[in-house]
Amino acid sequence: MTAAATGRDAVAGTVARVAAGVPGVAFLRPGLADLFRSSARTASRAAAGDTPAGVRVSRASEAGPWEVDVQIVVHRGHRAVAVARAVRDAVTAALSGAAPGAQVTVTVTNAV
Amino acid sequence: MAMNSGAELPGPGTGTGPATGPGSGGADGSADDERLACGRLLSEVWEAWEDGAGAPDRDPHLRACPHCSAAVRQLDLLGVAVREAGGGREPEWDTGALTERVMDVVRLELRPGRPLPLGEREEDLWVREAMAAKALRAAAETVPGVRAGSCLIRPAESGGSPSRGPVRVRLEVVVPLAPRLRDLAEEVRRRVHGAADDALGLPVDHVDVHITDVTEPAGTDPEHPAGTEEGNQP
Amino acid sequence: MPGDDGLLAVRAAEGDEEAFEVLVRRHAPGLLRLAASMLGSPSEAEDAVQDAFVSAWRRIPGFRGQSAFATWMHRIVVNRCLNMLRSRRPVTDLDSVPEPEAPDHAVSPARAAESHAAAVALGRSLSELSPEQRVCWVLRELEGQSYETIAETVGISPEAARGRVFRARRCLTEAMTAWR
Repeated sequence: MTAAATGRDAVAGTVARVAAGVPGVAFLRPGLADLFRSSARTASRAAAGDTPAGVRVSRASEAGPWEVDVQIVVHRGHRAVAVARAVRDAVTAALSGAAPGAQVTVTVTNAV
Repeated sequence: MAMNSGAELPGPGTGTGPATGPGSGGADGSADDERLACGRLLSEVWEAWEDGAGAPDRDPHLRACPHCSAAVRQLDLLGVAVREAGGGREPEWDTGALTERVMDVVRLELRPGRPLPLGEREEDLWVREAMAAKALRAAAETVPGVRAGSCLIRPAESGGSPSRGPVRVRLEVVVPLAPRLRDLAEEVRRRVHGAADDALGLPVDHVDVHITDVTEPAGTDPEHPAGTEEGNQP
Repeated sequence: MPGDDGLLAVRAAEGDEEAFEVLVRRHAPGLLRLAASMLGSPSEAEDAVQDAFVSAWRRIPGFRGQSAFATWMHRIVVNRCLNMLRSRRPVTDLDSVPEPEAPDHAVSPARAAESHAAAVALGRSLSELSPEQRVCWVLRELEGQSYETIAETVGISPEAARGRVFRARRCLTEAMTAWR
């Protein structure tokens, strides 16, 4: 694996772990939560390398800022914008060391 | 019994069943048809019986003729056999399991819709239209008796894609017949606008509520018993 | 969640999968019975109806409500059954025809046996019809549809529908007369 890929996967991994732990976040991958409801035995994680589903990480140039795209499914009863802000802030904070200046986009795809 | 092929040709039928009777085919109709000894076409005899089941005396020949009666009796026996066969136990369908299997696939192929803005213009937070629509419909349905249908959410401004500006909501509802429908629509509008803020954080320019149908007023609709309606007049 | 099919269908078309789930639960039983009559097999009927609903979810954004949802689903299921019948290998061995369910023993044994025998004989006769004849006959005889409706559902003329039902009846009357 290239150094770039390793870096990207490391960032993605951090983002996924942090985002999933934010209160109000049910799951990262749209739809996966609902799969668990009915047939957990057949649900399988998409094997897109080691990049967790629901997180897209890229950057325009080697030295440029990381662009982080997080898709979340929230729990009903939580205000969507509040959860999205909390995810953005948590991810930004977590990346402040390894990836300062990261541009974080958060999209709420569903509520369960 | 002859096998019937799958191909369907226009005009005379493809593949025949039992051997046809004398004088069939050609000008008398399709090759599958049969001309009874009394001269009537089997297809017409059966059709007359089927259409005129409630008025058996419309064509006296049918009842008097032994050939036609025999033909009708054949069809009748088939009907008896169908009813008898239907008297057996029906398989127990596991509708729940089938629904789950369908929904498993559906949830892999969701259509979340366009991204809509959450929060302030300068933020980079979004909500998918389908999810926002669900929340707004649910808010509309907190008004007793109201049922929400189409809920379309579009940017109110042009330019910038996707736009960070406020959105316009177009909601269709079915409401119970009430003396002041306008007030009811206004209440729906209020709750939808409120939910856009409280539940989502979606900036809304305005909400159009279209009443597409009215149902029976409270007390006559079994799903919505009297006493739960706003503005219900005795 | 509204009770009206029309509202649910519009919501499903806009991506509301929960509304679609209500429609699935509501319409599955009737569609399963229909598919079972056409295919003669409960397990194939489940496959047909399941596939039909998945297809419906994919196509429902284009469903503008010109017809009722039930009518639209009915048409999808009928055409799926027609295709399944057409892709079956011709029945040469009567033992391979799926047997109807065993009779319900809450009914008198003699009555139950009679029903079962009739069902078996009818099932065998039906399997000898062409797919087109079988589908049209089921719609006419078991669903009570008009020739115009059958024609619309299957995509043929009313005259062709009438012809198919007639030919199906000829085959079946022969077979059932022999059975009796």
